[in-house]
Amino acid sequence: MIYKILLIISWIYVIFGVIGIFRFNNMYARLLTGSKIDTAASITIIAALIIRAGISQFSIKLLLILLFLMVTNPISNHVLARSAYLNGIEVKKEGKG
Amino acid sequence: MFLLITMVLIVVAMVITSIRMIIGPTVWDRLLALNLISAKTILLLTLYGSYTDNIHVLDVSIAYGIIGFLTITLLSLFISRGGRQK
Amino acid sequence: MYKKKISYRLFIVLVIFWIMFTLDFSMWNLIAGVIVSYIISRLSFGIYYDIKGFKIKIPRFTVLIQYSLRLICEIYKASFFHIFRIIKKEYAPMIVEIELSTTDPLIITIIANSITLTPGTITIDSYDNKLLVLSIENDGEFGKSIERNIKDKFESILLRKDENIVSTDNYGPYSCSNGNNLN
Repeated sequence: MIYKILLIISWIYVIFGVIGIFRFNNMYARLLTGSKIDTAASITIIAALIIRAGISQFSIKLLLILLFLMVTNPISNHVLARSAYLNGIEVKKEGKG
Repeated sequence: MFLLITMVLIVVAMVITSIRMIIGPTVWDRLLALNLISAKTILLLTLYGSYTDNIHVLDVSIAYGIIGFLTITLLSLFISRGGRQK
Repeated sequence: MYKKKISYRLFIVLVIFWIMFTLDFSMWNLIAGVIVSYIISRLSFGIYYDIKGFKIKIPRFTVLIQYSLRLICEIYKASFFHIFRIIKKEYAPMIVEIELSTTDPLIITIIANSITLTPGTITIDSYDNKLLVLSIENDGEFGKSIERNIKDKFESILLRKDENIVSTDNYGPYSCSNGNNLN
């Protein structure tokens, strides 16, 4: 029962993550959207699956995947933002930038 | 049932994200779309493994995660050093 | 040449991870895990640990659990507010420089990761103990409130742990052995 509620919350996150990519005009705003909402959706879905599986071999592996996602997702976002910043994309630029 | 709906939703989100990959004005938009697609691939594989109760699919999803992380890091380092021009 | 000694703590952690990844308790699998862990912890002498102990200070286990629970809480709150920001379509990005009070590389890395995951900010670059942070909303006082926020929420937990390590015990499973205290 609880995992169904968590899955419904995760639908909201996934849908707004897709909308946010198309709604902002600034590149850094899109980057922030991608980094945050997507991580929240991943945590919600994997937590729902852990609750569904109970305590078993399955949930240990799911916990490992959750740990892995939480470590690597911000790092790849840093690398992207740093690469864009060092190449001189302006922060305040409106429009297509 | 709920797992099936979530899987379908994630596939639709991946398809819509790949539109951003095609029209993205800069290279970093395309890399961002690639990052999002790889994270959603991990989620899709995890959901599928949980749906069919097959524990070996989870190993595949960990491997996909490592490959996606390496792809993003190496590609953006390559681009930030000037790409092929230098 | 001095004799290379392996670190038993690293060896035990590697064996635990082997068991967690394979989840197979047959005899040959366990023997293979022990052999591979021994080779890895032998080869990583000088890279990860030294004669004096670990080169990297690892926070204690309870502190890590407490920290990640708070991190998950913050991620949820931040994403919830970000949804409203998407609906209202308001943004004014700017760049802030934040100075931390530690010089430990691992703690700076953890703080940078959690800045990326929490309210509307992303870390761009870091040098010494300064972080370059991109924030999505302009708060009108040149990032003072963001700095206060980060210091209150994250740095306080990790710094409290430092005093624990130096003062009380040096023999916990995840604490660092003595010989490289904070300077």
